Amino acid sequence: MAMTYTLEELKEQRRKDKRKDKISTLLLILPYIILFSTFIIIPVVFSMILSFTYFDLIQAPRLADASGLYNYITLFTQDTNFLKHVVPNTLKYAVLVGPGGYILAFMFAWMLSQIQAKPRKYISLALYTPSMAGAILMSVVWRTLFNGDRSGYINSILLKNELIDEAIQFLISPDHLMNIMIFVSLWGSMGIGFLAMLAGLLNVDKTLYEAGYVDGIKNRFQEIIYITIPQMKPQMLFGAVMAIVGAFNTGYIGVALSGANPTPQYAGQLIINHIEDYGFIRYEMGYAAAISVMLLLIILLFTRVAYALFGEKD
Amino acid sequence: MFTRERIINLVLIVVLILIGVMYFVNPFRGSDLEKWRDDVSEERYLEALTMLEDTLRDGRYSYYDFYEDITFDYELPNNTEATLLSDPADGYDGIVADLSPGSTAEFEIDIPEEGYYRLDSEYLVEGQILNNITISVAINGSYQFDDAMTIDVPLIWSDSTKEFTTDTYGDETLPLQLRDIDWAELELFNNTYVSNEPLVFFFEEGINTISIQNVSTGDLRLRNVEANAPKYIPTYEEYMEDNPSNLPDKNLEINAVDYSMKNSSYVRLMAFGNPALDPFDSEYKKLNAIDGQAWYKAGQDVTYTVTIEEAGLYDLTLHYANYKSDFDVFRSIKIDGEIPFKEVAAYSFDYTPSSWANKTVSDDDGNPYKIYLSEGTHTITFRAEKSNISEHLRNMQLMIDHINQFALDIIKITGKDIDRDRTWRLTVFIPETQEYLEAYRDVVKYMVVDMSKYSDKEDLSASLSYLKKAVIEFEKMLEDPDELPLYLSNLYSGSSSTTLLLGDSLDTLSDQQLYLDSFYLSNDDDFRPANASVFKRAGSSISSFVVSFTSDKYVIENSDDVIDVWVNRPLTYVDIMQKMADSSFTEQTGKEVKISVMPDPNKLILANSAGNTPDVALGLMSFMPFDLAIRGALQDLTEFEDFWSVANRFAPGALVPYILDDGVYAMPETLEFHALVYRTDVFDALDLEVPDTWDDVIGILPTLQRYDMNFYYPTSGGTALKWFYQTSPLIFQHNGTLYAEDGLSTTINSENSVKGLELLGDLYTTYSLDEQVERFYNSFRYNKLPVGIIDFGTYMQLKNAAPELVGQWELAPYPGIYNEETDTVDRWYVGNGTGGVMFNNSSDPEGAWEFMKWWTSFEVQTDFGYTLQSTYGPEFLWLSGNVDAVASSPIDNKDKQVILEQIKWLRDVPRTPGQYMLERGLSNIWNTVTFDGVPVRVAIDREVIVINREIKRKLVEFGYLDNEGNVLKPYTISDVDWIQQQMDNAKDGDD
Repeated sequence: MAMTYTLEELKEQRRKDKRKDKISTLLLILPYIILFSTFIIIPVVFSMILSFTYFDLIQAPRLADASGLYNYITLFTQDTNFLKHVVPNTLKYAVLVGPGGYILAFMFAWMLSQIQAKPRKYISLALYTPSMAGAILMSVVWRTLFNGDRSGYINSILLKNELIDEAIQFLISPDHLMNIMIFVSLWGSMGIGFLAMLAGLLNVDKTLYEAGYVDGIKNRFQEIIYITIPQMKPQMLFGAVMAIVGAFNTGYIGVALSGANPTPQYAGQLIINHIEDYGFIRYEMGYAAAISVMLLLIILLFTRVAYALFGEKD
Repeated sequence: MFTRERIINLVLIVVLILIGVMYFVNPFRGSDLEKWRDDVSEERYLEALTMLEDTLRDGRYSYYDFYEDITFDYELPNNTEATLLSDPADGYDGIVADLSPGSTAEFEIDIPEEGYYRLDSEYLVEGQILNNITISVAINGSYQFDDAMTIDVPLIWSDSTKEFTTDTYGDETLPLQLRDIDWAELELFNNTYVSNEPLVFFFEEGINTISIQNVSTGDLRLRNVEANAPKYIPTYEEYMEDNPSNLPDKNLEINAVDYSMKNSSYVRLMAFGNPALDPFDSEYKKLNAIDGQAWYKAGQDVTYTVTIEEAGLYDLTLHYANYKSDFDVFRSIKIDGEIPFKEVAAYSFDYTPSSWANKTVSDDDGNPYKIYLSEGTHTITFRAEKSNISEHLRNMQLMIDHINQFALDIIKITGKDIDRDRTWRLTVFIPETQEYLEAYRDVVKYMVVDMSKYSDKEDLSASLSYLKKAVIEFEKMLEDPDELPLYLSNLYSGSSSTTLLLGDSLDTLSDQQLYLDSFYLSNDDDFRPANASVFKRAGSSISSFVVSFTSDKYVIENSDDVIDVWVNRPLTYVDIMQKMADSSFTEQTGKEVKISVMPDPNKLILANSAGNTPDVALGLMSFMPFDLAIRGALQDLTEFEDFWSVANRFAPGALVPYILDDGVYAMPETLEFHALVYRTDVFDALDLEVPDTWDDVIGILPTLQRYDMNFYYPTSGGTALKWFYQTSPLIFQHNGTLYAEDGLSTTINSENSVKGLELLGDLYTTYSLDEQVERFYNSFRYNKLPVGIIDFGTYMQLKNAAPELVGQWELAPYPGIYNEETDTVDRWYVGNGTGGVMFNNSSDPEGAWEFMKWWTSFEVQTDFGYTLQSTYGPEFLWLSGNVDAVASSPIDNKDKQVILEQIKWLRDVPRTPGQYMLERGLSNIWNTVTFDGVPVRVAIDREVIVINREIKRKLVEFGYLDNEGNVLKPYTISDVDWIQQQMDNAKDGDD
């Protein structure tokens, strides 16, 4: 027997359903909201507020000066190291390691996608390993390899083959530190972005390539440009964002390699190190907060660029 | 079917498994024993050895060399008494020889029959000392062997209690160590215990003189010195002939913790986390075994007192563990102070890989050795021995010495930079090359073959692997001895050189670690299982895992009515501090103290923001108090009236970093010293003088560098950022300063300071010191850097961890600059230990101040250092901030004199708010001068601008200057002179 409803009843039912819908949506995003605001929003807002203050971790924070902009003014007018060493270093490092690592990751992922599944598994695991083992390997393996003593492996090989006369101070001399940092970071850059791209590459519909060849694609390069990359835009975007954020946020490398913050003559000083320097060595938390706000802005800017390049327009 | 893919997969898996298996069990690493056995012969070995002995200039003549040629005559007359010729000591009954530190006692003895006798006596050691006494014994004016100069006089120790007290966490703590101060019998052994029987000396018939000298600290008294014939130890067969054969049906278990005495306070108990041991608890740590890591030196003995109810023969079974890789350790077993039969004079205990074993002392076929014990009380002593292998140990040392000499001879010919393109014909210059290398190879081979009997894996024993590697190295060199200069680093000083391999083997093989849980005297085999069953182990792991959630053992809370003290030191230290505070401070003042471990001193800053600081914090690095003080968290200690008179107990230079304006915000707790260390063997061989000034250092550099050696200055160590102690001592030595008196600018560009920095730069640019040295300790051992400047930590390391260097190095004061005005050599160095602070929101400042005074006082510091070291071992040397306490601490007298002299020149850098910039500036100056070749003055000028700007910025921040640079309140730099003046004033006030 079929139930019959009046129009009023139906409307009421619909309203109920809608309310239910709203509640369930809210419930679904609630955990995210709670976690996101506790761990992201609140600290970010807090550090923004702190950036207008003078705070030495011991006394209560107070406004840095009447306008509160003192920290920012100092940053751009007084802090010679910031503009002379830290910003150029960070940009150089980020440009080479970010896009450089990104392109490398794509190239390796593409090459791997061309080979059989079994060896691919092992090789991709091998490529991914360094990014997991990062910090420990850094201090153990690379410091031993680049040791400035004559017992450092690279120095020892060079000395034995008489390519150099005396040990090169790879980790102390400002001429080498930055290059080594970039080299080491590139080595470890096959991280989660690389895995995402590999997955993206493998999911491209094979029939598209056949269709492409019918439509006149002549070589592998055109294949990549016209089919592969457009097909895996989401993964490309993800990889790009990870690469940018990673490049700006990995400050520990220079300090881990040279063993000290600040790095020798600020040769490997990145923004992150500068923040630590002010925050935990000079106890100027307010100023450190101001620098980290600048870092946030820089990262935002570059992420926008990545969106412009790979984002879906919808 | 088998597709190609599957085959590839299979192959891959198989290869991986093979690699994995090979990693653990290398099938290619076969035993060479059979082959080597044929290669070696005793004849060839002795021939090679004699050749090495003969060609070694200034060789050692050890007790081993002395006694290997002797046949003992056990029938010599006993109890020939010696008469004392020197003045006897006052205040004792009878004639007692006075052997206070450095003094000599002469004896005369009328020997009826010439021969080799032992010297026995009775001895007494008074006073609070920790380290064994060393004496030298000369017969008729000469030392009969080198070891006669280093004879060990052990101290007898016991635990204050066997009812172990628990610490704040409820874990059992090590008991205080008490020393038996009473007359005891003394048998003479050298301090490395090469033999398991007492030393013998040769006496002529008729009148002989004996002179005994005390060459260490500590008052020794001797009486009843007499010559006795060597004691004959029977074989087991002979031993059994005399004993009744009754086998009592008893099983007596003696727990290892219940020892009644031992001859070293360093042999200590531990809480082994293994349910097979007794006692054991999964939540609280129970002391249940003797720590093998601490009972490893030959000669260390532990004695148990047992009461036997029924006389008869007993088996002796030990529940022990030996973790020395694949190699036996040795113990001699004594009943009532005597070794009952030869077989237990150095009994082997097998390697027990990661487990424990119940081992009944028995012969090779497993028949137990019976020990006869009469009714009543007996002592059973276990003493660590290495006499079985002392022949080989001595040969290793001989070869190290010989190789060092040989290598120096080679460098004399080839020069420091060995020309790799040249065709070397070393045998033309040193014809013995081949002979030497063959001798090295054959002696080491013989050692390996002989010692393989002490391991189940024979020559594959991990403890012998370095020796085997050395043989392979020698064999490689023998392929073309002419080319040896090209492989010199394999022979000597390289990181895998043969000298190093031998040195490390010497180290490993001497180590006689044995963990002991308990032992049984019984005639059945009803023992606790040696190892816990799988279920029991799993059960105990699970229960400790569960307990880790439920127990609130490690929770710390501050309380109001007691003095809260946070200490940045391990629990071992804190525990002793708490005990001392309870028994002494609380007793005297009635105030309770609660001392807690603070693992991370940065927690103080957070605690301060949370308003939850303790009253007192100790063990802070010297830079921390200033940072806390300038932000107003600390109490100015000068507000206490008696501060400056109390401060007289410290070295003035140690207070420098704790000063802000005219206030002092911390007290030095420990010190740091820097001093010169040099290898006497190298300095003798190269005929060098110990440098006193920097000119002297520069003077010896050409000679050192000709032999591919160098001088070590601390700037070469550490990381790229050089700290003050690495960059500024030379400035102070040149009478320079770092800050202007008003604190507004740096003065590193003033004339004297520039001189200091120039010297520092020249050392590296003109005189080519090594720019980076990974670890000086290693380079010093390998003879690469036979002279350099060390800190306290490296000193302790050399003292305790480099056995092959014992007696081959000495301390000397830091090289300085001659000061014409005062006619002294200025030896300023920068260094500081740790400090203690009081927080200004302390609820009881007076009580906290009393506590700080109590803690840094002479008695407490001496007592603490003594307790710490006697409980935990020689590595726990406490270098107190109290200078008098350093003077009475148990450091070798010679070294102590150098340290005390050097502490006078301690001078830390005055702190200012921008001081990190100065530190970085100095570091940058050194870096640019050394690596970029920038002239010193240019480098200084560049940095001065940056430093001054930062100083001003910081002074504005703290309200000393306004934004325009006008002085609001003066910032005064108070240097060491000002402190000295305050101290002197206070002293005058007291008088």
